[in-house]
Amino acid sequence: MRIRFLSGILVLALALMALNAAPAALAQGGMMRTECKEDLTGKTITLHTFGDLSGPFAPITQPLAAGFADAIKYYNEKGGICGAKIALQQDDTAGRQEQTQSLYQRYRAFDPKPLMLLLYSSADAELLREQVAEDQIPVFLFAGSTIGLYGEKADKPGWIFAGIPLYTDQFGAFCRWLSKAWTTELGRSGKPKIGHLSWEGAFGRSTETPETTAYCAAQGVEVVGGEYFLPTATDVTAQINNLVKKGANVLFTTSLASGTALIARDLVTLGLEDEILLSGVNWVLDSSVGLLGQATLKPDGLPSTDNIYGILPYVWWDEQTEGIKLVQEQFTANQRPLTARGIAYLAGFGAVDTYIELITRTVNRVGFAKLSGAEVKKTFENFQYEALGGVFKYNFTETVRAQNQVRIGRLTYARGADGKPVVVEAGGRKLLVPVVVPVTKEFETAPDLKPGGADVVK
Amino acid sequence: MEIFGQPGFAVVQGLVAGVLTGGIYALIALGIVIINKASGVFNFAHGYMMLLGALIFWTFFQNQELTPVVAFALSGALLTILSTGIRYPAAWTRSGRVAFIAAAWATVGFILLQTDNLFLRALVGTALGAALVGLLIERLTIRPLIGQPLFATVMMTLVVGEVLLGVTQLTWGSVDRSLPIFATVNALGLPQAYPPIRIRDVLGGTVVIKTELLIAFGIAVAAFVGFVLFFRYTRLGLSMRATAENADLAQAVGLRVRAVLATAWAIASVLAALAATLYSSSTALSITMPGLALRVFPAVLLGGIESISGAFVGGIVIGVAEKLGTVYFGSDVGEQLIPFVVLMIVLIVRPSGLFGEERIERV
Repeated sequence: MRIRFLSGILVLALALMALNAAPAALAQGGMMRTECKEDLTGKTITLHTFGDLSGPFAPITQPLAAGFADAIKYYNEKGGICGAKIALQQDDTAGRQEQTQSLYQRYRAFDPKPLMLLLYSSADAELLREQVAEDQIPVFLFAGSTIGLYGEKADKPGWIFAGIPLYTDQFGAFCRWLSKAWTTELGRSGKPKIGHLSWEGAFGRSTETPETTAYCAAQGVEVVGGEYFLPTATDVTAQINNLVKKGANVLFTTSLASGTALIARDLVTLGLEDEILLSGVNWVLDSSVGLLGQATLKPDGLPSTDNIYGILPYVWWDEQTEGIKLVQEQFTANQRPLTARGIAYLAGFGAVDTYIELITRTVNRVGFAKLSGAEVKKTFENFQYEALGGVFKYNFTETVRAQNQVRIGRLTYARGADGKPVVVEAGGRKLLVPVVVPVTKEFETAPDLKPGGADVVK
Repeated sequence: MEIFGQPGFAVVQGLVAGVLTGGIYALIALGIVIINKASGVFNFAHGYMMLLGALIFWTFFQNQELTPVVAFALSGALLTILSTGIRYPAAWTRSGRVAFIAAAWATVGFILLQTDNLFLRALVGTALGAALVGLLIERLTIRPLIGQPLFATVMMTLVVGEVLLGVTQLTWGSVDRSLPIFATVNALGLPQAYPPIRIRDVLGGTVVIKTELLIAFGIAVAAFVGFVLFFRYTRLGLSMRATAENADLAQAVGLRVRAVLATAWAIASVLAALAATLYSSSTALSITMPGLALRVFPAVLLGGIESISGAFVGGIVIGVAEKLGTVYFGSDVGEQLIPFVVLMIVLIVRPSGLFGEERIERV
C-alpha cells in the first residue's frame, strides 16, 4: 500500500515536472505561441526585409508585402512580440543584384544589426550567403536555392533558412508521386517522361540537376531535357516542340505567373493540352496563374491552366483551418483584391508569425538584452514550429535549412453544386475562381536531393 | 520530311512564330527609331512608355465607369493639342476651327463615357493618354536639354524610365493582368481567345498560327506602310527628317523644331502603347515588359538606327533568328546567343546596320 502510494506520488511529481518542462504556450489570435518570460512593452523590434518589388518577381512579391503589412498590423493589435511593437523596414531591389548588394551594405551598417533578414529570391540568397554569415545575420528566405542554403558543394549549412522546400527536393517529390500516380490516378499509358520548361535564370534552372535526373530515373521517370525562355517571351511553341520531339509527356516548370500561363496557353495552341501534363514547383499552384490562364480556354471550355499539378508545401486558402480563417479575415478586413489571394500573401502573414515565435523563444532563452542575430540563428537551428497553427510547418535543425514537408496539389476552378464552374464579377469583368486542391492528403518528407543529400542516387 | 535534321513542320512552325513575334519587335523598334529620327536620341525609356501605355489601355478596357468630368477633362487635353499643334486649311474661318475642335472634344468625351464598346473606348483613351505622356516627357525632360550634349539627353531617358516605372507601380501595382482583346465571349460570359489557325499536313505535321500574333503582325505592317508614307510625303514627316538632320538649319528655314520634336515623342508614345497592347494580348500585361524593349535593341541596330524599313526588317530577322535558333540548337542558343551573333556579324560587315545611312564627316 505504502509502495503504491509512493509510486503514485512519484508519477504525479514526474507528470508535474514534465508539464513544467514543456514549452509554455498561450493563444495569440487563436494560434498557439510560446509564452513570454519577459515583458517587452514599450520596446520596438524591427522586421527587416528587401527584395524585388518592382522587377520580374513583383507579381508575387507585392502581395507578400501586403501580407507583411496586414500581419504586422494584426499582431501589433494582439500585443506584438511579448508587448514590443513590431516595425517593418522594407526596401525594393527591383530585381537588380547591384541594388541587392547596395541595400545589404546599408542594412549591415544598422546599429544594432538586424536580428534577421527576410528575403525572397534565390539569386539574392546566393549573392549574400557568405556576407550574412560573416555579419552573423540569419535570413529567412521564401525561395528554395540549394546554393544559397548549403553552398556550392551543398556541404555547408549556412545562415539562411528557407520557408519552402528546395526546388530540387520539390522536383524529386513530384517524380516520386508521378511514378505512382501515372497509370492509376492520372490514367495515362506508357512511361512518364518529363521536360523542364522554365524561366531563364538561377530560379528557373534550379530543378534540372544531375541529382534530380538520377533520382527521377530511379523512380521510373525519365527526364528528357530542359528548355528555357525569358520572362518577356511571347511564344514557347518551339521549346514545347523540342521537348515533345524528345518524348516528353509531362512539362515541369519553375516560373511564376505569366511564365506558367504562357506555357499552358501554347499547349492549347498546339492542341497538346490533353497529351501533355503541365506541372511545376509550388509557385505554379497560385491564384495568379489561375487568373491569367483564363485568357485562353481549352476545347472543354475551362481555362488553359485548369489541372496543373504541383508541389503544395503548405495549407491552402480553400482548406478550413484556424490559421486560414484568420488570414482570410484579415485579407477581407484590409480590402485586399482577389488577385492578391495567393501564396505570397499567405507566406507574408506566416513569415511575421514565424518571426514573432523566433524572437520570443530567443528572448526567453537569452533575455532581451542579449538578443542578437547569432542567438536568433541558434533558435533557428532547433526550431520545430507550425506557423499560423499548421499552415506552414518548420523543422529546422543544425543541418536542415529548408522546410521539407510536401503534398501534391492541383490547380483547378471552383464549381457550384451543379458541377458547373462558378463565375464571379471582379473589377467589372467575369472571372472563374481558381482553387488549389490537395491531391495527396498527408504531408510527406521530400527527398533530400542536394548534392550529397541522403536520397541522392549513388 | 526533315529540313537539316529537324522535322519540317517544326521548322515551318519556328519560322511562322519568328515572323509573327518579329512583327511585335518591329513595332517596338519603330517607336525607338522615330525618336531617333527626329532628335538623334536613343530612347531608353521606351520599354517603360510601353508599360504605361498598356496599363492605360487596360484601365479603359475594364468596365470601370469614368465620371463625365474625367472623360471631358481628358478630351479637353485633346482640345489643347488641336488648338496648338495643327495647321488648319487656310480656308477655314476662326469659327469653323472652333466648331471642329468642339465637335472633336464632344465626340471623344462621349466615346470615353460609353461602356458598350470597351475596345473602342480603350483605343481612343489610350491614343489620347499615350500622346499626352509623350508630350509631357518631351516638354518636361527633353526640351530643357536642347542644346546640351546628346549624352545628357540619353541619360535623361534612363531617368524618365525609372520615373515611369515608379508611376505605374504606385498607380496600378505590379500584378500580372490578362488583356483578352482578340477574343469572343463564351457561354459562361468569359472572354475566349480566337482559336489559332491550324494548317494540317505541312511537311509531316500541323503548323499553328496564333491569331492574336497574326493580327498584331497585320497592324505592324500597316503601321510601317503608314509611317514610310508619312516620312516621305507629309509636311510634318519631312520636317521631322529635316530636324533630325540638322535642328539649327531646320529652325533657320522656319520649321517649328520644338513642335516637331514634341510630335515625335507623342507618336512614339502612341506606338509604344500599341505595341505593348498587342504584346499583352498574346501573353499577359506584365511588369517585365520593359525588358522586351531591351530585347529589341539588336533589331534597331541591325536595321539601322534611323531607318523605318530597317526597323521592320530588323525586327523580323531577330524574331526568326530566335525561333529557328531554338528549333535547331535549343533555347539556350536560340534565345540567348543567336540574335546577338547575327547583330555582331551585320555590324562587322555593315556598321551602320542593314538600312542605315553611312555618314561621312569632314575633319
